[in-house]
Amino acid sequence: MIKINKAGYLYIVMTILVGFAGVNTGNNLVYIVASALLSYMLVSGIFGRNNIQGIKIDLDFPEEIYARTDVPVIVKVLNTKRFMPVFLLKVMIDGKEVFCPFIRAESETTQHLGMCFERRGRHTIEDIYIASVFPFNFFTRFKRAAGGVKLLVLPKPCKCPLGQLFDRHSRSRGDRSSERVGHDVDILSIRDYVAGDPPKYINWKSTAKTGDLKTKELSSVELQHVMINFDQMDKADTEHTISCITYMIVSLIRSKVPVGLIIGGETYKPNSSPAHKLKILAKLALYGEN
Amino acid sequence: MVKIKDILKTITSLCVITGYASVFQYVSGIYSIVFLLLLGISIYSDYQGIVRLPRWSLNVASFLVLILSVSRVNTEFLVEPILDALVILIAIKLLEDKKFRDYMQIYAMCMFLIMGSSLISLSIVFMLYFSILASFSTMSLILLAHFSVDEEMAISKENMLKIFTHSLLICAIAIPSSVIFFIVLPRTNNPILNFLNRDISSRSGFTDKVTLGDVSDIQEDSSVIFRAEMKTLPDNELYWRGIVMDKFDGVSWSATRGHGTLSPTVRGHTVSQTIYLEPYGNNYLFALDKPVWISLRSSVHMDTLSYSSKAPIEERIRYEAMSVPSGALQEEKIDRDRYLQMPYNFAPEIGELLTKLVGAIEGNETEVVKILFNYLKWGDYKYSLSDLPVSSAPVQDFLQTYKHGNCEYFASSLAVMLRMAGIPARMIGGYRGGYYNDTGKYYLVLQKNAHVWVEAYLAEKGWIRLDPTPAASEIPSVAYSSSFFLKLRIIMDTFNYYWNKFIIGYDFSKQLLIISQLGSSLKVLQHPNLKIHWNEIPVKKLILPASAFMAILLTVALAFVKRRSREERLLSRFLRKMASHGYEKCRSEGLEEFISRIERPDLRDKAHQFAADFHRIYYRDCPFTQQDIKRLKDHIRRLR
Repeated sequence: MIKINKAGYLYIVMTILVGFAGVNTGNNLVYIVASALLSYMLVSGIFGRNNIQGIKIDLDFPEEIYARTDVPVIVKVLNTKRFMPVFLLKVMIDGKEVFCPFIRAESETTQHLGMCFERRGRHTIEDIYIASVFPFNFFTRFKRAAGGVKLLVLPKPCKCPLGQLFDRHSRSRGDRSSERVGHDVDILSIRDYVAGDPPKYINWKSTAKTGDLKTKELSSVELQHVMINFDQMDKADTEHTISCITYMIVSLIRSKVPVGLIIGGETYKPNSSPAHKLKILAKLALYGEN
Repeated sequence: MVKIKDILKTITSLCVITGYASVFQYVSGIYSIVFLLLLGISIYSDYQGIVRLPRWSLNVASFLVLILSVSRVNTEFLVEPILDALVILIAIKLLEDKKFRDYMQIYAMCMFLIMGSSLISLSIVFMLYFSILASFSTMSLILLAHFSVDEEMAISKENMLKIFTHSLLICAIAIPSSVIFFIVLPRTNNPILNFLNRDISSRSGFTDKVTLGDVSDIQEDSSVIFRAEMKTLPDNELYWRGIVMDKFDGVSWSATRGHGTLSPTVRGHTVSQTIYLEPYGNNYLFALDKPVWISLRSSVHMDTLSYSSKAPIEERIRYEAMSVPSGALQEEKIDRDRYLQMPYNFAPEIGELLTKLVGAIEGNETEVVKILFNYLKWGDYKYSLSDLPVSSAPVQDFLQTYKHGNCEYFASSLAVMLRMAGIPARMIGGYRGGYYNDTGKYYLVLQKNAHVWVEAYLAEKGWIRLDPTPAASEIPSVAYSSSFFLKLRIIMDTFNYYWNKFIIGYDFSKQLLIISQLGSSLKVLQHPNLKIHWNEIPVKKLILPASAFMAILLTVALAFVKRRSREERLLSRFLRKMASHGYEKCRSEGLEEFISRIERPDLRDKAHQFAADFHRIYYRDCPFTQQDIKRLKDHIRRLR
């Protein structure tokens, strides 16, 4: 694709005028000027075309992309040409653009671009275009460099009063002692002292009774899990509800609280791992999409 | 880092200076002073950041300059006022706080300046200015493209160097395509704006009337009058005939139209020439003595065997001529009164001298001519350029008092004495000698070579050439031939010659000739019985230099190209093959990882075989053998 710029129109008009002057004066020096102008137009086309050849664009998105939240995208521009550098390259992605003034031959440059997606769900960046006015700003040449980049945009997190969102049974009820050995609450057992046990865990009563050093084994504390039943929630404002749940999932998992989700008849058991978070947030992102 | 706008300002100033230099000799003094003043101010304010004048005030100033220049334009004086206006407009533009469009306007106006110079002079110097301006403009335009994106952009020195090399590359590539455009752009035989062309490179030379002393003025001029493309001739045959003067009024000679034979016969070997005549403001066409044919359509063939153009020669012209340099000019019947004409009661003292010299042999015309010729050529008369007898009786003064003079005095005296002795005679004005350019195979003839000689009519021989001027080192053309600068000038003139021949002289007829030659060449190539006779191809002249050039080009290219190893070449061949199947390997991807992405099982297996073999050999840390390469190539061939 090619677009003629203002300077390009001026240049074309000037070339026509000079050519006209050449023909009508029969002056070969004017012909030389006209020939040079035409020739420069041709050479500018060749250089302009070559400038946007052999370019690969790679987009690096963050793992979690939330709707209506600015996302920093790393745009990697690779010039695969062996000899020719790239000048004045513009990369256009979804109406936004980054500018690379100069890329050496066979090298890569990295630029940052802030993007924002309005809605949750699947997104496809259909076309990534590159454009350049090189060499003379007479014409802007465009080329589709890449496209079909698929993204999943997670719902926008929105802070809401939690009580309205899930029932009493689903609420976190604080912590409880677990079966695992730890250093927190109840005595699980008493065992023989092993060198290195902290003196504060020595059970003096049993030591006195048996005559051997005895150590207390305490249980660890684990947080109560949270189960969110999305199916049973009020759907008057689905998007708002999804946003609130998203916020809650993100903030709970950040606090290591295992979160589970019941959505569309599917149940996701509580867990606090990042992979689990992404899995349930993806379910929320795709809610309502076929 | 370097700021684009700083470099842009510098190069723009250089563009403007180049544009001005191309026309400075045609720009009025006051305009030049104003231009240089404004240029100085703009350069100073660009680098010192002085507050600029408001744009509207500069626009008003530009408008006033335009009005003033337009009021000076008339049909005789058309281009110069426009050039005056352009230089001032450019200087005013430089004063502005320049944006993208301002720079574009400056470059456009610089180009118009160069074009304006081409309407006034067709000199090869145009090419010098044009090349410099084109190089500067190319670089400026690339920088301007950067400037248009961000006016405050700064780039590294390495980047700037790349821009510089790219601009040179663009210029280099533009040259051959410009040549093609120059050849093919449409031309017409009758350009309607031809009146705009005005080559004022030369304005001296012979006029219709030659007063004694005039030719010495012409001889002071070392500009070129014409170039004659031809083979070399002996020096005594190098007389270039122009004007034939038959009327003498005692002080000057002039040409009249008489009633002679329109086709006098000349016998002898013919010499063909192609003459490139510079504009000199008169009508006479020069050719080797004695011209029998001139190809110029608008030429007038006069009865004195001289040719003239219908209109004064105001632009460089080219014509073919055929001459017979040796031998007499036969003419059955001449107008004796015309060639014996003398002013009434002219110089009785010359009559006395004549009686003394040839009184005894009156009636034998040949002997009379011989005696008079020898009297002047080998007698007491000396060649001189200084203290010439310029008076109301120059011939008498020359013969009796001064006894020195230049060719006009010698020729005039001989012609006068011949006429007084009853032998028809006439003066021929033209050029003598020339400097042969072996490269271009042409004679370079300067105004310095201006010369006059005599033709006398003998009944049994016809018109014979008599040059009574003695050989002398003071003769301007002879003195110049021993000058150190002559050789340099001849070398430099080769460029001028080819410039005029191929560039300035290229017209509609040559364009048609090229097209027809191209057409006939294509027909020959298509002929079924075409046989190329290799032994007829000029090997030394064509093929050897071309091969040498190609070899140099190849060596330079190889020096720049990074030579890849065999393994790299094999791998890139494999990847190209896979790409043709729609599988592109990412840079960060390993070979095995890449192959595992291939969906077609058969292709994947074949690719695996290649990769396995390749890795096995590659990690062996030994050079690839011929068998290894052959096997890997086979793997690649099987990737279908």
